[in-house]
Amino acid sequence: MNRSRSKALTARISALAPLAAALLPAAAADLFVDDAAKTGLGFTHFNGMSGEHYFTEMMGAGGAVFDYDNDGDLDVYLIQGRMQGQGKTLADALFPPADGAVLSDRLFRNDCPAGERPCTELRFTDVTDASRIVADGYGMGVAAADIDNDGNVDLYVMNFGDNQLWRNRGDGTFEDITEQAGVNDPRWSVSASFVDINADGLLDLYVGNYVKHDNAKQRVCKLAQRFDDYCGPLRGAGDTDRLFLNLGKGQFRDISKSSGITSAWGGALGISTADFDGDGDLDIYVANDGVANQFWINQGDLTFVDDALLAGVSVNKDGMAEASMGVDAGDFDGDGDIDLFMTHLRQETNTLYVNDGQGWFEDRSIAMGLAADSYNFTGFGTAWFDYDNDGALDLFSVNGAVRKIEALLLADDPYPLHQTNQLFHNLGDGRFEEVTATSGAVFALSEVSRGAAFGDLDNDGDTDIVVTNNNGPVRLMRNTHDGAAHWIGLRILDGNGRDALGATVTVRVDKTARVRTVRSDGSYASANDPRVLVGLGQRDAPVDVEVLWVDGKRRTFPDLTADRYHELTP
Amino acid sequence: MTLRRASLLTALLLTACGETTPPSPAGPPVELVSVPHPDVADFKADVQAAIGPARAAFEQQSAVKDGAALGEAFGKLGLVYQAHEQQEAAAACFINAASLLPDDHRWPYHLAVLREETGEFTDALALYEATLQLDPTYSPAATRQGLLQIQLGDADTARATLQSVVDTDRQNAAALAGLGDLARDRGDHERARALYTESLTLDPAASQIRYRLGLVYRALGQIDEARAALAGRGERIPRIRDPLLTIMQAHKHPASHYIDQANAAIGQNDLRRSAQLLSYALAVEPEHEEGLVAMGEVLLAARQDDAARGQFETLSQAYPENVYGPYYLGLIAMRSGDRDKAIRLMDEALAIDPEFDRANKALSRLRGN
Repeated sequence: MNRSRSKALTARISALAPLAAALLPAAAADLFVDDAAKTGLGFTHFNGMSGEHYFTEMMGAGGAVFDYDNDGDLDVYLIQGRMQGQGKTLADALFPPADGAVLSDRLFRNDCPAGERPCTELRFTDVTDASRIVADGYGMGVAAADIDNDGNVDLYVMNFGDNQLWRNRGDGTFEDITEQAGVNDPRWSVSASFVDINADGLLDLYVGNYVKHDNAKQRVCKLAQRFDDYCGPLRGAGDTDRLFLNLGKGQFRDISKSSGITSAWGGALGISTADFDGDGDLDIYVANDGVANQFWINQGDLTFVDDALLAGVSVNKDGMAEASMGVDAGDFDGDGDIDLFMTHLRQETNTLYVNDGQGWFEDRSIAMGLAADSYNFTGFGTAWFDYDNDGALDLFSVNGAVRKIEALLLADDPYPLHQTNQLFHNLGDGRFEEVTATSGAVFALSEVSRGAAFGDLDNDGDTDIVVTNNNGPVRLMRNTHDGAAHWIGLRILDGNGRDALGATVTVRVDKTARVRTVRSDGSYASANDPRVLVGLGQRDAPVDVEVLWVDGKRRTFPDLTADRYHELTP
Repeated sequence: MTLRRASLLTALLLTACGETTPPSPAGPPVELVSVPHPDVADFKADVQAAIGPARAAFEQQSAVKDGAALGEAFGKLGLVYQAHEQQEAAAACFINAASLLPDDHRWPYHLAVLREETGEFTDALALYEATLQLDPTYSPAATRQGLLQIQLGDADTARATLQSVVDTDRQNAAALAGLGDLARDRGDHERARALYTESLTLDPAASQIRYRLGLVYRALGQIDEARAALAGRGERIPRIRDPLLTIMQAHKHPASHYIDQANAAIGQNDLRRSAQLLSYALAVEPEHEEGLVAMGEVLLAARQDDAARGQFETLSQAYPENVYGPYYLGLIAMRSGDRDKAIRLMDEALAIDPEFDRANKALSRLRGN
């Protein structure tokens, strides 16, 4: 395909989005609006597709929301791809990047004036060059946390190829310390989690690896036996994950084998960590593509045992392994334990695993109303979050097929993988209702969405979402909830002044307890705002908050004022 | 057809399709939807070999046939398309077949299966219902309907549907497993255990059930049993014995493909396998000459004379010049002691081929020479 035609196709794709949005019936009030362009979050992912149907190009990448400059607002890191295929150049690209586009990950600084809450005019500035981050591998995912307890959030960037650990120097710049830290993994890593597995105050690193793959041995599959299409992973191609123990001073030791986590292989795409069995240490849940998921139960001695099968989270309720892309852990039903939700392939259904309090789960997807509505979608990034601050955790999942959609193909669609995203409202009794159609024009956008990073980017007390699209523009889904509901925001720090990932927060509202975990992991290939945002509904009175840190410290904070953020330390 | 059936089907089919054309010269006009035939040239050679002739045969038949015969032609082509994952084309064919053959349960059933695959669950449920109104005895339709009702969260209806299936067919492993799921969902783990166990006994290869059974044991506090069951977990779902889908699946290959394999199985003296393969061949091409002869011979070898007779009668009707028809029918008459009929049939065989040695020898024996 010549370049001019490629540009025409690109233009056509770009033209589809506003058209689709315009076709949506006007909602009473859009719950979310896409403010990416308006706020300067100008980024378009490039997957390097050239018509060869490389497996890598279909998977897509994520992004992170994190406060790299400690100014109290969330900045955005976005993962970029590059041309795929030996000898291929941009001239071969089906959808070439815009002229002048730099094919490397980008860091966008949130320029809200320090201390302004809420931010009255959200603006982002691309500060990648100034940050000295040079991440130009074929990017997949990112994890964000302070690995050296210096109060600055660092980044672990995962690629199809070597990964990178970027240490935040605290002066607006980063340095690549991958080699000295000993945390490289040259395989195909997608998601990772910083998790303090031994409660020593240092964040360890779990890296999820997808499959063994070589584009030089590329296969092309057929859709409806006649159209070239992408293939899924080969059976048995799943790779093992890696676990790095943080030794302090920016040094890690690979304990993958001794910890037991290489005793099972998978095809990791999503990772969530929490104390699922309530025994006081952090466990690791790994969502694997097409094979049994893993549920690594922390034995308390730097070893883990996969108990997914007996725990009931290995496969779906019927006993079938599913595609398992995005995952999140949260107490959706308000019973004080951590439940799991994950997204799957088209013609599967998304899965909700309900925890019985002891780390045993039941797949209740059908009963909770989350099954049938997801059957025709391929879900990726997802999270529990309370979009309307009514106190109950809702769900958002971004969608985009991995195999071509025949109807789109027959309609001559140049990129026939796109789907709309979905929003599910928690009805308060544990059941969910899809509210996509009434939540705003942004939900009419049909794109190939992959990553979703959740956080309050404008510090107005509700959760916004950065959605990354494979071979498409990033979306900043800004929550425009009208503020009728009250909330409390909590930044939980440990004794070193870093976000206390893994800590359990209990907010007592009247006679109910809302339990949340401090986390930045979950979703797909993305990193979330570690702050805890709890909806209070119509209640604006002060609330009591109890925090249980990973090391067992527990402290109660009485009478915290609603509708503002608080910083809590042990 | 009752008015109720007609209105149900019409409503479903009109909802499911779009524009129509009316080519039926006999009887009331029937509205047909246009079929989005795929371009045969797009397929690999083996698929072309299956779809190409089917399409050509359909074109030939559709030019001269109408009414029920045209309905059969649409249905037949739909099976070929469905077997080759051409869902839109298959659906259009089934819609037309159902319009032309409104009393035939096969077409709403195939359409229901397609709609379920594509996530059009409401249509699928209604089409299963339409199937069952036309043939209440076709239990695969009720089984799939009940399992889909479970997926849609309609537990009470699902329970009634699946219970009615097992009330008439206690050997239905899939329906029993579905009832087990419903029992498990409402916390009746003892009943779920019994139902899963019964399902597994009927279909031991349904390894998925072992997972469900394992979680039921877990709920009952029997952890060792739970671990043992979970260790045997696999991905095979309980089988639904479904003759219509078996016939559809057979359309993945031309009849000659199965006949070649059947001949190889006969060479290995595997009569059961050869009969199965020949049944596929005849499902694809019911009047396949070589297939009819081979199936008749296999049935004769298995001493299933009545079934064999049916094959050879079909052969004789379709191919009056084929000597094997009267010859084997004569042989069957000999076995049953009907000497006069046997002689007459052997004479018929020799009238077709006077040099046919086996008929000559049989006639000699019959006449006591």
